[in-house]
Amino acid sequence: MPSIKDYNRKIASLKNTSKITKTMKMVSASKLRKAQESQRKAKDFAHEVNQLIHRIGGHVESGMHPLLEVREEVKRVLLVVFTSDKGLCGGFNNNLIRYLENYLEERKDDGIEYELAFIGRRGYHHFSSRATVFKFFDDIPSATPHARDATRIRIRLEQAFLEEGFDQVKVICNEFLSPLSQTPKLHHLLPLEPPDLPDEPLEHAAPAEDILAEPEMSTLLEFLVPRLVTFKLFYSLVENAAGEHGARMTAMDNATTNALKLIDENTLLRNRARQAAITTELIEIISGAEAL
Amino acid sequence: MSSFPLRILTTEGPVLDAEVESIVVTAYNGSMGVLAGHAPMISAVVSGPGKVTKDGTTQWYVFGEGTLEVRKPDVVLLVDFAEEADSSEAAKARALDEEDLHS
Repeated sequence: MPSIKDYNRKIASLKNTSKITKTMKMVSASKLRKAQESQRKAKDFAHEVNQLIHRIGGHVESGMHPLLEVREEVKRVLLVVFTSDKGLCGGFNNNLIRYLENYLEERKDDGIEYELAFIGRRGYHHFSSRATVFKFFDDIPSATPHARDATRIRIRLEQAFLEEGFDQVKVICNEFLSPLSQTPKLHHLLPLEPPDLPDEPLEHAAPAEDILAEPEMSTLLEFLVPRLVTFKLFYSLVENAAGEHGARMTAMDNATTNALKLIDENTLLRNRARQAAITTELIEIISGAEAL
Repeated sequence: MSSFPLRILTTEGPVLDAEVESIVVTAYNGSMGVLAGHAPMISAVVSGPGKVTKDGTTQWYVFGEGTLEVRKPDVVLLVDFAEEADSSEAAKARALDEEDLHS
């Protein structure tokens, strides 16, 4: 049986753990607020971008821009995986990894070659020895998204799609539903299918013919399409970051609750052990006295 | 002078949402202005100085890349960033800085 000293040591260490998890929770909560704010703002922007796409949608055909071209035969697919750099955030990364593993397992016999690109260290570490890694963007921090990072990823992916023989590029990232819940989701990136940014129904759509384009539509598309891809990537980055902080906050909250529960349990056991020791001593004294 | 509702949005949030008399941006083919009653239009905006006239006073801005969309009746400017500047010179200087940063 553990002694009182053992219990004391355990309780002290549990107290330290709960202090750490509590602090981490508070740090995540404040980071989450910021990330959520930028996610919300990006969503407003996404709404406007979608409206714009719908309006010019009538003018756009698959052949008008290389990034819009749908390939007849799909042989190689690039999956861009968004995870966090750091752990201690519950099932945030594991859910996504499991989702991706199932996805790959189901499509094992399709004859399509899948390669993976990573943003966030966690996903890369898991898959680096298990799947074909195309690229790991190791210098892009997952917790602090930046529009410039999205541009860099876009340029690299564009190159993969146009020059390195990939027929499709898809994105797997945790969709941010609320701080408590994130679900892994897969969406198409290239070739670009415009209307799938998260959005509400369209407001007032003007007939497409009435709109002037400056410069003319084909030049405008050349300018718009890469921007749209960049923005989609940025949105994924923002969602990923908000999800990471949310998941960490929840995980640390649970950890704190568990630690406090363990402290209570151990305090009870310690008191019981102390009581047992006192009783034993008393019995020893009494039986000693009786023997005399 | 007649006015129209203008919204300036960036990926980091809204910058302006007000009734204004005119907006000038650096478009793909050079500087371009929009007044009330403009025909619906979509235009590419490149990084550069611009200005917004509201209640008779002109505010200079530096805009990032994006699009200017004229609908009926409102106008929406979607850009990477939008910063206020004190004067046309300051806006131009700031735009040049941004170009250096990108190249």
